[in-house]
Amino acid sequence: MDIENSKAQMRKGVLELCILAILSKGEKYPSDIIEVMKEAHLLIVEGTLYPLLTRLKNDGLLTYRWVESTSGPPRKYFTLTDDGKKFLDEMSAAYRELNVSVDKILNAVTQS
Amino acid sequence: MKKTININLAGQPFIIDEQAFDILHHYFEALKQKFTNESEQKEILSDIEARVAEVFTQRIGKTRSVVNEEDVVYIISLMGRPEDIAGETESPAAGQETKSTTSFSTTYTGPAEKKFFRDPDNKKVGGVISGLCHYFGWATRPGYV
Repeated sequence: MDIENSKAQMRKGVLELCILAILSKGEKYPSDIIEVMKEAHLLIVEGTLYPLLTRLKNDGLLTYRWVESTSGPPRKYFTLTDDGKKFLDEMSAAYRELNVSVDKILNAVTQS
Repeated sequence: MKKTININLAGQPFIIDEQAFDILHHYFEALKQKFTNESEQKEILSDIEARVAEVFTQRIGKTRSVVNEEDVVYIISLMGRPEDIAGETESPAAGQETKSTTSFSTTYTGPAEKKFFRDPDNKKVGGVISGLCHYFGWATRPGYV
């Protein structure tokens, strides 16, 4: 069993939730999202973010607008759609429940 | 003294060292193979391309005008090699047709085998630029050197 792969698989499930959560605080450019994730040690490479944003956008959870930039090509600034907000609410609740359950089991195992 | 090549990244012109170009080209090819879902591939790659253009612009600054190998190595480390991205993007969102992204692995092996050919049929500068257009999957707009 490849431990790194297992960790990546586990992270994958929560990355989308985190992107939505970060965007719930307002419009953001991908680099801003990466910064927040890096601080939380969640995302290692930027290349991971772009496919996720595209999928979330295609699923109707995100939308973007083009903003001119002085340091290169125009940038995409992303925001949550109403569907995205609903999705985030449900997913955060589900994540918290799951977290409590898993903690309970892990704690029981480590204490025994 | 090094040869340089003119390229277009997300609508921005860049002059890049030949060797650096080779690495960057292979990198984009590897990414293209990685993102096999056609409806997403174009958008993901153009987002990445735009980011590469932005980082190059910032790195070059006002002191030099040519993108070098260091810049390309830097952007690849920032963006991640295709295999670094793999673990997190392999499975498409639920409900989508699953392409065989897991049945083969795309390994970025650095600058290697692919040869760059001039295109004598559409030449401006000895066919170098139009050769580039063929060889790039990107919307390479030939500029004047």
